Amino acid sequence: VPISVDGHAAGAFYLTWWTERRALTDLEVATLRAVGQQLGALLRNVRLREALRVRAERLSALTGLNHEISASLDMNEVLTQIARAASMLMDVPLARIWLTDTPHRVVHGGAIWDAEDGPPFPRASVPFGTAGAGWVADHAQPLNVPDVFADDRFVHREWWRARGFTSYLALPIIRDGEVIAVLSMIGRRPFRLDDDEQRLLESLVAQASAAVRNAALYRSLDDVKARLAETLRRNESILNATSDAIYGLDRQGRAIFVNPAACAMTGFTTDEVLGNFPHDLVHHSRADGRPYPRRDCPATDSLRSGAVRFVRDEILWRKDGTSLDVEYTSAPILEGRDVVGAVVTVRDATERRAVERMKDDFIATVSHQLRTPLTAIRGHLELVLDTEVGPLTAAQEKFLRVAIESADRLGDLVNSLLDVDRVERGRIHIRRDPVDVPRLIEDVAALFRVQAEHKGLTLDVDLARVPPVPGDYDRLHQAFSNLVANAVRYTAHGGVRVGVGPAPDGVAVVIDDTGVGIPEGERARLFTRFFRGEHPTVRGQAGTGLGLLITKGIIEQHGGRIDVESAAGSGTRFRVALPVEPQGDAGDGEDSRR
Amino acid sequence: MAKILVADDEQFLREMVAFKLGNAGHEVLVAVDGAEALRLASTRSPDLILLDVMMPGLDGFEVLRRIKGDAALSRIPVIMLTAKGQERDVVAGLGTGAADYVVKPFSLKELTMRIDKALSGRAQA
Repeated sequence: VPISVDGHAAGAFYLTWWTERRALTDLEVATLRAVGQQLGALLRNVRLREALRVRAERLSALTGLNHEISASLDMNEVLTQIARAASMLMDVPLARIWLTDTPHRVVHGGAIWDAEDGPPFPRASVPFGTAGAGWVADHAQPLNVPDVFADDRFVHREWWRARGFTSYLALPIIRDGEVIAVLSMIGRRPFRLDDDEQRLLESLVAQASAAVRNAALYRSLDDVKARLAETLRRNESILNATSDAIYGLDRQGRAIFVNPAACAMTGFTTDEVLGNFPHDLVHHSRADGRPYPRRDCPATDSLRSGAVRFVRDEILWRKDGTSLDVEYTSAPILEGRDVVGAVVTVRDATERRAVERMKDDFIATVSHQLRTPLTAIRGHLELVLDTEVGPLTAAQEKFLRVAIESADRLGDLVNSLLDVDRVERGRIHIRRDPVDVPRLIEDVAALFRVQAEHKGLTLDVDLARVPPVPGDYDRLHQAFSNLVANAVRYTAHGGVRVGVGPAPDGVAVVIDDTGVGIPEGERARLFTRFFRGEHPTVRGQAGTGLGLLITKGIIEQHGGRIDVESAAGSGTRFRVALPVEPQGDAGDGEDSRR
Repeated sequence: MAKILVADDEQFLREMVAFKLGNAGHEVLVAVDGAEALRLASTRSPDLILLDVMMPGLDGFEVLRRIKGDAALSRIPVIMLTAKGQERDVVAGLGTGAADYVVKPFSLKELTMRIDKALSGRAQA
């Protein structure tokens, strides 16, 4: 009697009678057929139950696999779990992942799952095109070989024989159109995949692909992290090693960074500085004790205007209340055009200040030492020239005059050198008294009137009413004397005219002459050390070559400007503008010890 | 003519100024340092004192301060002989009673003009 399942014969049973020989009745035949059908149904149920159990196991394996993959970023661990799942799914003892090295056209044996723990495949890697994995990598297609001994691609027969394996199934693991790995499974029965198995295998392959890619990403992330850490370490060691104090400020001026040198310099710890205004901690007062509002701090200006500010001769206050001579640079941190913060770099200026003090003392001493004999030379020459020790011949008188003029020139030079040194370091001390500029110009003109008349020149002044200028009468007198002296010196015919009048924001003084003029090429060097006009008619004229440099320094210390207009042969015009409002910090913090 | 005390630690300058003033008909006293200047100022009551700023021991400012602090001497006009760069201090010196100052290297003509001016100022006072 056939046992049929879903209309197919799945088996048969038979009945034998030992007691009699007879034909079966129709009823008996129908009954037996029904029994066969029932048996078929029973068998089907058993098979279904078994299939369900297997599927449940597979699903459970894959669920576990998902968990393993998401829990582990170790590619080898993940691939081993995938191999294990493949082995369970296909019910084979051995599964392995081969990793593709496309540039070298070779696949390397990777994660392996061997349920029997037998001897491994004898090759650690195989070239593209050879063996199962090499063929799959090369062709990017699955390979199902029911009997490897009937296939030329499988050459390591001893191993296959030793392990008793006969069948082979491999699938390419593809990412972005490229085979990145191969999943191979090896068993003892030809592989037959039903739809479910096919789907599950595909899922495994997708997981493997993700794992390989994640591992690559993770590796590159690791590289980036390591490089970043190295960069940070290096930058930090640079910032930590420098002896300059460095503060990083946010947009408001609060500290977002501070280096150890800053803490060592001021005594405030990193915790005390971060998040607070360094200005309020260490920069709150000026050297003379006056409060230093945050809005006046150059760092605030950098944040506001994006300007780089270099400041000398200020002090920082330490936590213990003592102070320190410093110089510092405040530079904006820009993102595009936006100022997002500032970096303030502070240097201990104690040594520099000490050196400057020594230099000041040295220059003062030297100039004193030069002046004393110079005074004796000049005075004694004068005594002789004034015939106080007896009459002179004409030649003697002439020679003595040359000697006295030379001594005067030497004296000017010695005095100018002192001023030049101060001008060049911006250290001329400027008083802030109201100065009546027209009166000042009258005084200066009076000084040169005789000299001008002696040369046959006119010396005119043209004075308008102007407001008083805050300044230093003696220094301004020195500056304008230099300008008028030059005008008289370099003018042979015509005259010199000095005009005073109002200017935007202040007072303008214009000194015109009809002299030799200044060629274009020399104008740029006009305000430099020891510049002397090269014009043949002025060579040999007395002068130190320092006057204009000093003049410019004095004018600028007053917050003013000096320009020159000239054309060779048609005279020169110097224009000085002096502000009426005191100019901010000019002179502040300088010379405070004088 | 007047009695003038010249106080300067530099011998050549001292003698040079003394010679010039002597030729001009003045009676000249010389002091080689601040202490001697003070002593001669009180014992010889000069009409005018030329006082060098940079002297060893008592410097010119200290001598000036003591002269001006001494009721018997405070009316004597003092002209300071100074170096360039010390004007600031000299202006302070004028504030404490110096009549005038002359910057080295000076011309003897200018010096005698300033002396005459200081003496005439004293005469008017």
